[in-house]
Amino acid sequence: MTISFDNPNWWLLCVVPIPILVHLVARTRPAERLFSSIALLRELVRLQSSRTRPKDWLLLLLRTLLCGCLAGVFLLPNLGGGADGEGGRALVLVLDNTASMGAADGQQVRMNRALSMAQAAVQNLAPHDLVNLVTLAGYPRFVFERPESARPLIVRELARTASQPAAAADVSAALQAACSQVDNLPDGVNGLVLLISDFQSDTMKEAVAAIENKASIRCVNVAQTTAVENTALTAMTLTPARPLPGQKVTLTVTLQHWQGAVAREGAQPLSVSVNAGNLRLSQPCELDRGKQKKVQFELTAPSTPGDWVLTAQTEPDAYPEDNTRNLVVPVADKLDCLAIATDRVQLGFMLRALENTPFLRTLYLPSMPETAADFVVWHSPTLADVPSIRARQAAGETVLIVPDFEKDTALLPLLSGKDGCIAGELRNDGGNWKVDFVATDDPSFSLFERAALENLGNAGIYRRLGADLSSAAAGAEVLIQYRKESADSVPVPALLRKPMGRGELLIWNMPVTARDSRQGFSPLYLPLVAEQLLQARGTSDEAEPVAGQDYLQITIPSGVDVAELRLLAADGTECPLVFQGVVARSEQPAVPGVYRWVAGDTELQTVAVNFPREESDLRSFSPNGSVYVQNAHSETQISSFGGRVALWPFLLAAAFIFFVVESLICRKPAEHTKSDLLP
Amino acid sequence: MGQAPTILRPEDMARLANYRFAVRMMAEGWLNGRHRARGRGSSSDFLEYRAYAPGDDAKLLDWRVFARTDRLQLRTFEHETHLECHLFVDSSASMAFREYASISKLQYASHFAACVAWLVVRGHDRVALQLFDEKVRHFVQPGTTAAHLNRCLSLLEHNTAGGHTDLPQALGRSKGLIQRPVTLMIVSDFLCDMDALQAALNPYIHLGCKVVLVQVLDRGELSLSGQGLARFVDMESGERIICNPDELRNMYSERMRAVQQRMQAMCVARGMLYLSTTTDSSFYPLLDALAR
Repeated sequence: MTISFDNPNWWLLCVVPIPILVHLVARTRPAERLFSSIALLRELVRLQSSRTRPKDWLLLLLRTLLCGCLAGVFLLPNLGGGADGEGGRALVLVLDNTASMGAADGQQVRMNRALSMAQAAVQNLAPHDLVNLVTLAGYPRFVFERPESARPLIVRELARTASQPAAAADVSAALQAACSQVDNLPDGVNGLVLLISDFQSDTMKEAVAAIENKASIRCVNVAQTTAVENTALTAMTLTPARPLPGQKVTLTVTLQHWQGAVAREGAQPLSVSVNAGNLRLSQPCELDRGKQKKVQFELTAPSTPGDWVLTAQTEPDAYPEDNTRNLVVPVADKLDCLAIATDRVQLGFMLRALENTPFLRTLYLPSMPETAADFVVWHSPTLADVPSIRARQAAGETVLIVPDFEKDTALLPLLSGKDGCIAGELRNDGGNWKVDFVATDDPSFSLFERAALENLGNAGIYRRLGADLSSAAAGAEVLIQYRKESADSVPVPALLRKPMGRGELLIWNMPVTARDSRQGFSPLYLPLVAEQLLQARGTSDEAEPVAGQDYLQITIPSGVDVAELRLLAADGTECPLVFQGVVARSEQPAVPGVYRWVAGDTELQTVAVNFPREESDLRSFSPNGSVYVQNAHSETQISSFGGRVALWPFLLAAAFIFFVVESLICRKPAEHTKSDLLP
Repeated sequence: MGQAPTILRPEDMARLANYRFAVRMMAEGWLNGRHRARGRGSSSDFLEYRAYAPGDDAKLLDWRVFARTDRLQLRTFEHETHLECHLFVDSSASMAFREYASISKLQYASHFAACVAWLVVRGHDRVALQLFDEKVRHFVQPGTTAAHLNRCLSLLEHNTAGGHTDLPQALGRSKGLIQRPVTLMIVSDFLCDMDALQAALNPYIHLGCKVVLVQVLDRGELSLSGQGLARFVDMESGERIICNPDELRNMYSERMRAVQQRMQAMCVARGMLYLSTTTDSSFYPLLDALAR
């Protein structure tokens, strides 16, 4: 056990002798008096001394101890903590401030408990000890690149830290980095990673399990109970995803219930309400405990284009942040369609067909644009275009490919993930090839209820042949196929659909020629198909900014004055912006809510940021492996971290006791007996 | 011719005119005088009858009693003798202490001794004077003349305080100067060892001397005065001690009272007369006590 002193101003103790010296120098000298004989006085003084000497010694002892204790209090001593860290200690504080830490757990919010413990751990460090702080909400944020001797700064940072409505990302990397900081400390410095969390998400569990040097980490679980009962709105889906003005849509709200520490049976009565502009719909439901349930609302899209904000709510419970969810639906009178082709002739055909479609806003760009579109028609893509196509599908776009089998290199990588090409040819045997609709129950064909599909089927068109197209398209669905030549022949797909990513891949295996310009006969039915597919695709909030991680950003439209560009929260407060070229983004990561990009009086875009659904699961777990997990229930437990105990409270109490005892002794008068005074 | 001593003031002499120096106890002189002696003498005052014993003076037989009773009875008379008073005046440095009164203890003692000497000489008795500190400074042989008184008064007037107090030693040295029972009056502050004093007085008591102890103190010595820390300097030894009179005052007063009580008890037990006074009070009560 060693004693260390926290007060850096210990040298101020050197001034303590100054008042003593001043007293000794400036004290009043006793007056000199001639006396007949001091024998009697000497005898009395001796007698008094014999009586008062033990008391004087006791007083001297008490006063010395009192002064020593006060000096000790000034020095802020600590006992222990220097087992093998003669060069000091280093503490890397990994603080989980994700959304689940804001849940009320027992009598206290988890985050408050975590902050108390973190502050206790930091306060327990000596001033020269090293410390660093990592917060996990959104993405790991290190205050310093390596532990620094800046305890007051960390304390201030902790005072500013709060639970953020965000999930944790890259926790494993953060813990590894923290452990790396501890491992790379100078010789003689004793380091420790202190992870304070509720250990709620699987991410945390996996991250802790993946730590290699488990001896350098210490986990503190601030969850008071193993699970907190919670109900959350986990998803909102609108079908179709991008409705046209006045179109009837279906909103599906997904509710999820998590059991608490004590599982309960039965259903939980709830009411789900949806705010859609001025319309408010409410629907009662019974949610089975521990189960998921979907509640549907039939709505009509606004009659004017624009962003349509849908807000779903349910009764708030112990964790009310996740009982509200927003969905921003763009209502457009036209769908964005991109046409990409290297063959100018083919591009001309396509554009002519697309531009005649009233609900499509066709855009032709010579190169691959960054702009997102609802529908992309891509003529003769090559292998180099595969990454772009996949990126667009991942973003939720529907990409319709019109392959050129004579020089195709993209289909096989897109369909099966293998390199190679699907060779084919354009056959025109003088006859007209007819097609069969093999998936008439597919929502894609609901559009053709009022159209004569027979016109297409009996049109008699050229046939493109793609060898191995059927076998390569595993998992794809054939919507239209060429009529079989014979009973034994393999049917050739005319229109294939394969879901990929969040979008879809359509392969149009029909020639596009000048003859096909007539709608109804032309393979340029494809805009109609596209519209139907888009309508069938339900929205998902996956594309929304992730709370705590993503920044809200917008590409500044041309003609917009940057000075007028503002980002407004739902309550009208303005969010600070950062401009990077033509992109404006919020200064801070998004927190749940509805935000509006506004330029002057013009509303540019509405964005909804929702509560991370994984944070609604408030079950806590204990990390596996040899990681030491402390279920701390009080700050005193964490303050004894490292075996270090602050001694100044004890010294202060001792000083007070010494003072009281001294006062009592001084108050008691000296007593002399008669016998003492006899000569 | 020297200047006449002023220590004995005319007003004192006028006031002492009606005083007679006579102590309560009988004197043991060897000359006939006015003072009763402890034995049988030749005065005219009848003392008692006692049975005749062989060797008794036949002149003292009361023949009338023999005629009536047929027994030989001696008729005895009181013995009247003179008085020889030896005045011992303490002249040590401590006698120069003065705090409350306008005069020092030595001045007070000198005045008192002068008055006693005057009274003794006026009563045709012999007076001797001895000034001492740790040793005998001056000794004036007993005498009864005016010149002798003048010499004593002159010594008292020009006496100065100095030296250490050692009364037992001074009494021991004076032992050879007193061969007969006399009246011994010691004027001092008696700030000395009580047992040693008693031992020093024993030879005089055994000799039959009548011992009178007159303690002269300043009131500041009876009750410690002053406030706050003070450095007390011994007037004789020059030693110093720092103490707080506030803390010692009560103890000191009680202790002084106990010292005086012990001295009183010692004097009573040894047949001595103990008188105590302070310099701020008159010494005539002392003379009254002596005459009582």
